[in-house]
Amino acid sequence: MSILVIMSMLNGLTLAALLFITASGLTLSFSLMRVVNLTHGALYMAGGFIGMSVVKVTGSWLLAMLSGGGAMAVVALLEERFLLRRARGDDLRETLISLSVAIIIGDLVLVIWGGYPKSIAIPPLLSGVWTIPVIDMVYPVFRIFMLGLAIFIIVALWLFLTKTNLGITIRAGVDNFDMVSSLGINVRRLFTFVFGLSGFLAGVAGVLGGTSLMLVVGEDWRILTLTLIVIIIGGMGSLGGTIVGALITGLVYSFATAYIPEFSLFILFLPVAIILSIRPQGLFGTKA
Amino acid sequence: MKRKKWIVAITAIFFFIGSMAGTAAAVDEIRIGTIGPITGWATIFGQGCLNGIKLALDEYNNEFNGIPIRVFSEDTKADVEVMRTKLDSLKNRDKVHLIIGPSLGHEGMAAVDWGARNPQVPMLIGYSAPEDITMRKATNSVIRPGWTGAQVIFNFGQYCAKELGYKKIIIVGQDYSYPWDQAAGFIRGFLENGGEKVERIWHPVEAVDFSSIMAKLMGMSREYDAVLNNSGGAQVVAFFKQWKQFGLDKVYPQILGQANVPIVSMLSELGDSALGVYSSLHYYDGNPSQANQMFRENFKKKYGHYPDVIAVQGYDAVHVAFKAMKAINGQVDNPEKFIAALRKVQLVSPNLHGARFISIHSPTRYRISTSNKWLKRTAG
Amino acid sequence: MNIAVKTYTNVSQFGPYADMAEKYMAAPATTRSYPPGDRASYFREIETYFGKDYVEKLNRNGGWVD
Repeated sequence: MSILVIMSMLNGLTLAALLFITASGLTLSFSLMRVVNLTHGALYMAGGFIGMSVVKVTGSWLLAMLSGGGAMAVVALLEERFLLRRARGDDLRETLISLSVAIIIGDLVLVIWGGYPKSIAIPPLLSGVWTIPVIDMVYPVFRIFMLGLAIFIIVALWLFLTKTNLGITIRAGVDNFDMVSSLGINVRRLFTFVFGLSGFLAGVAGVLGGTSLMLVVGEDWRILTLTLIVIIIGGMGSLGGTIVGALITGLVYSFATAYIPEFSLFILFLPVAIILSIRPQGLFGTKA
Repeated sequence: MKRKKWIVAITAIFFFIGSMAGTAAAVDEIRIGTIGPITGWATIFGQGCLNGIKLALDEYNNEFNGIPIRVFSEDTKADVEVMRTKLDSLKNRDKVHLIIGPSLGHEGMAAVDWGARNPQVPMLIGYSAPEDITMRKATNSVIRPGWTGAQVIFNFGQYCAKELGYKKIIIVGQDYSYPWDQAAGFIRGFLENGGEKVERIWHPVEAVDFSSIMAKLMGMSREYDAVLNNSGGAQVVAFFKQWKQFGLDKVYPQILGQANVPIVSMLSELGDSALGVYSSLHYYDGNPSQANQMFRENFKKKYGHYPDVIAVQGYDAVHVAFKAMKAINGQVDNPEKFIAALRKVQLVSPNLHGARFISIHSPTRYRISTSNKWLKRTAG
Repeated sequence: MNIAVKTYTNVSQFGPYADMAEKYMAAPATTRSYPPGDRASYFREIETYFGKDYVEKLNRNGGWVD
């Protein structure tokens, strides 16, 4: 195997990690509430910008990640509690509300941080390259960190959903919503919690993306598109599907960019078109 | 005979009065329309230009010979369709005497078509750089007080071949017409002056994960001497970040940049990874001339940050307009006269690097600072 | 802050081709792969629209004359 192949594989995996962290939140909120939250990209972007300011003031990258995520959790909580809850069950209204909030956040970001591209400095501990033994190949430490963090989040989400009461209730709610609510469980609070968690993951992903790539106004829609690709491939609302969707998207993108960069976008959308036409619910999705 | 003389005399007097009216200020306000993206992803290009325009107008107290100047700012949102509508309303609704803008490549190409259909509205191009605006599509009413993309990079190719001694170069850039022009201009200068080979890698305009391209560049480092980044805006930031992450700064000499790379606000964002980057442009912010330093400080006072070349071009466009207005005594309501005067302006830009002339064909002649070298971070 | 390392003066929009603007504009339009990126095919190309004299002059002077 040539170095380029190994590199492209690693690049695909690490891009998949970023995509997964971004998409997991969206898939979580979708699985429970059946609403495609178009605010997700804006939460990613705003989380990233907040993280950037926190790094500038405090110098702590960890704090930046937590505050980017935390702030977006609050925004998502408020969005659910005061806007989406009123439109519950009306798909069109829910989608339009999430779209409006996305546009408002996007404009606020432009007003506060301006239109120039920014980036977050990589913390010293995670900067530099790691030399892979045997094949003598170097690879950025930060991208490997992203991969590790994604695996950590996968395990944490899995433990949460299978081992904790709250998680089990959420899964039950996904499978049979009416049953759970008739058992006397406060579904509303559940919704708000999951929405907040989803916002937290988006904000964290924004800080990661801003550190590894860059941040700019407009990034919200680009990220939302990529996230939707991942979810469409994997299947709406399936966490396992999101992992597979992120892997396919990441690997297709990285190999396409390495070998035929001009057509990488075209090739990225190819699996989406194929899957939508032969298996519209996605690889792991269940028929609605 | 007597009667005939009278008629001649009266006609002469009428002509005289007529020409008097002509030389007097004919308008009670001068309306200038500006056009460019001031929201959305390309905000920096439109807003930068507009900031320069407003700063220059401030220097003239927003008036010309006592006639107040009114500015009508329109936002294209970087969308050509939107721009056409806005150009129409500047012309029909606001009845502007002059339009300054637009700022993006595709906007400029569409604006020159609009200009050809509306030859009565003089237009000074903002930051928009395609050469065909003043070459193959040139039209009388559209005048460029600024640059073309290839103009500032021909000599950079020459510089890389002759002064830096590179033989083989990889150009990585966004896949659309502006970077194609940059690459073409560079290739001409590079190959005609001793360079041997240029490999071009194109990626989608909005791509930001360059990891696979970094992997490729790593493999190509045995054959090639250097890499030229041929992107603008956010892609520059993303490219430099990943360049450093992948340790390519240890494999290649300092990255080279196309003309939109040395934009101050962008390089400050890049921190140390941009130190020593070579590129070429008609403006460099480190120009020690008093005019440039004053321009920078005045700009900072008004907007809170230092200007870049985008603002310079908006700023200069206003000075060009004033020179033309002076030449025609403020008769901006006579578009033929105004356009003719604009085309004849010769101006030494106060803050650009050295002299430049707007010739009869309108495009500017520059001293190109090939290469700009980015030395240290500026505050703010 | 940017500093200038070398300055080229009086550069027109036609760059070094200012005195043969017509020929420059008659050359094929730029694309993602035009003009060719290797020296041999590039020189073959410009010979067809800038002429043999131009290529000979380049070879004689080892490039442009500042």
